[in-house]
Formats: sequence, C-alpha cells, structure tokens
Amino acid sequence: MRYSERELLSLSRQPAEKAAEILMRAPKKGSVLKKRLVKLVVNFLFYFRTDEAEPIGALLLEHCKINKEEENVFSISFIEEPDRKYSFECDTEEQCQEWIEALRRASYEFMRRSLIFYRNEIQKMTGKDPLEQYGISEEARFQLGTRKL
Amino acid sequence: MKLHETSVLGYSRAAAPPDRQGRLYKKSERSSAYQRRWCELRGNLLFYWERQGDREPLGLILLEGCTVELQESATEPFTFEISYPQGPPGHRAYKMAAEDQASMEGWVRALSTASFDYLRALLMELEGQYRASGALGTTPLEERAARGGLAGAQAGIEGHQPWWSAGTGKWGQSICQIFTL
Repeated sequence: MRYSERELLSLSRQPAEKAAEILMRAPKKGSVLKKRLVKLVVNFLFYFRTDEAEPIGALLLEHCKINKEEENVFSISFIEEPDRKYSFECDTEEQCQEWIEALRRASYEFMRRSLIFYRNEIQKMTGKDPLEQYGISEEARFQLGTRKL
Repeated sequence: MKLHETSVLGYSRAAAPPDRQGRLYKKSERSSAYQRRWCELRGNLLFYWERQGDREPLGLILLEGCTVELQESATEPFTFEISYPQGPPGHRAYKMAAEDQASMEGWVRALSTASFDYLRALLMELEGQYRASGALGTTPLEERAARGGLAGAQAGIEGHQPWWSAGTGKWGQSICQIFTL
C-alpha cells in the first residue's frame, strides 16, 4: 500500500500530545524489550531509537485496543490481529495509566463520538445545532444516529 | 520508517460506512495521466483502490496539515489539489479530478474538514458551549462512564482541563482557515 513517507515524517516532527522514553517490544516472536522514544501525534504513535531524529515506525491508533497488562505494562493490539501485541513497559504504574488513557482517547473515532455526543446534548439544551455556524451540519461524518455511541 | 500496515488495513475495512466515498481521478506522478480510483474517506485518511470492492487499497493520503484547493482549469475541469504548504519543499501535492461540479464541491468540503486537528478544535469549541449552557459538574464523558454508557474503559475521568486541549494549540487558526473556500 502506497503512502507518502514524507507526510508521515513531517507529522512525526510536530509537537506531540505525549512523548516519553519507554521500553517497547514488537509482537514478533523472540522480540526483546528495547528503549524507544515513543511519541503520540494526533492518531499516530511514532517510535524512535533514542538517539535518532527519524522514527523507526508508526502505528495508526484506530481500530485498536489498549490493554493493561502486568504492572507498569500496557499493550496495543489491532482488532484484525488481537493476539499480536505491541508491549510497552513504563517506569511507574502511574505513567502506565496516563499512557493508557491518552492512547484510548487518541483515535479519530473516539473524538468523533464525543463530538456527536456534545452536538446532541447542546441541541437538546439550546434547541440550536452548534455546527450550523461552521456550515458543516450536513457533513456525513458528524451525523447523529449513524454511529454507535 | 515503517507504517504498520495491520493498523491501517483494519481501519480501511471498518464496518461503519466511510465519511465519503466515490470515484475520483488521481493524477499519476509519473505519467501525468489521470487514473480512475475508488476513494473512501475515513477520519483523516483518504484511502484509494483501483476498483470498488477490491480488498487491499492501492494507497492512502494523510490529511493532516494539508490544504485543499479548487483548481480553475479549462483543460482539466472539476479538479482540486491536496497540498502541504507547511511541509518541507519537495512535498508531493495530489491533483484530483471529480466527475462533476457537485461531486468536486462535496469532496473538497469533506477533505478540508477531515483533519484530526480540525476535529479537536471543534471538540474544544463544543465542550466550551456545553459547559456554558449550564451543564454543571461532571463532563458528559464522566456521566456516561458513571452510567456505564460509553463502551468499556474508554471513558477516562477528566481533570479540570479538557484532555484534547493538551495539543498543538494551532486549533484557533484551523477553524478560521478552513472556510475560505
């Protein structure tokens, strides 16, 4: 599948929602924990070797599950391959929980559901559609009732 | 850099309908010819296939930090361009053509409002309105979590600052820029 690496690289250089050095292990058998700089930018998780400017890889955080594993550890798995887990070992349990929360909210789909919820609530409270002023009321992506809340 | 394909393929095959779908013509980088593609917009990603119904997408276009502009061209009607003005020089721009005026306008509108940053800006705005409208105390996410409404553990408890405000801060500009179509 083609994509522009330049666009992704550019994104990886943007200010991050969250970044930290974390021990990471790929799902491949025999993989070991390695220290990586992990950086969350919009709905992408980039990971770098700690002394390099360009990321080794990127994960799109959609259709995925963020799982709490043992102490200080969380994992990311994708719905299509639930047994393949990317593992992350944090320094503290607190850091682990912070990352879990941040990653669960990092998906476009999660934000969209929140937006639809707010739109609906504001409409109920005020009688007005808050998206009207932006001219996007009819955009399919923001419609109520088309997605499971 | 490796973009893990599993993560992307799963999203491209999601059961929920895409935000927009249809036929577009994409100008090839190499040959400059327009090639017919089946396109589906999901979130901040535009996927394209050779044909509708093909399993694996040919490619994807990331819609962050891009501008979408109509092209006024007599020789290439209904065309628009996705470009990355803030990117380093040499960034590729994507020239696309729709089948008619209505389709072109629909796509331009949809693609212009597709970024995560834009969604985040909207959310901040709506969250502010929600609080201002007299909703007190807990945020809707907390209420839903308490009622067990939101799926599983996704409803974290928010602090005083909305979680999405810990972002780039460019949001203020995003909303204003978008509608100078």
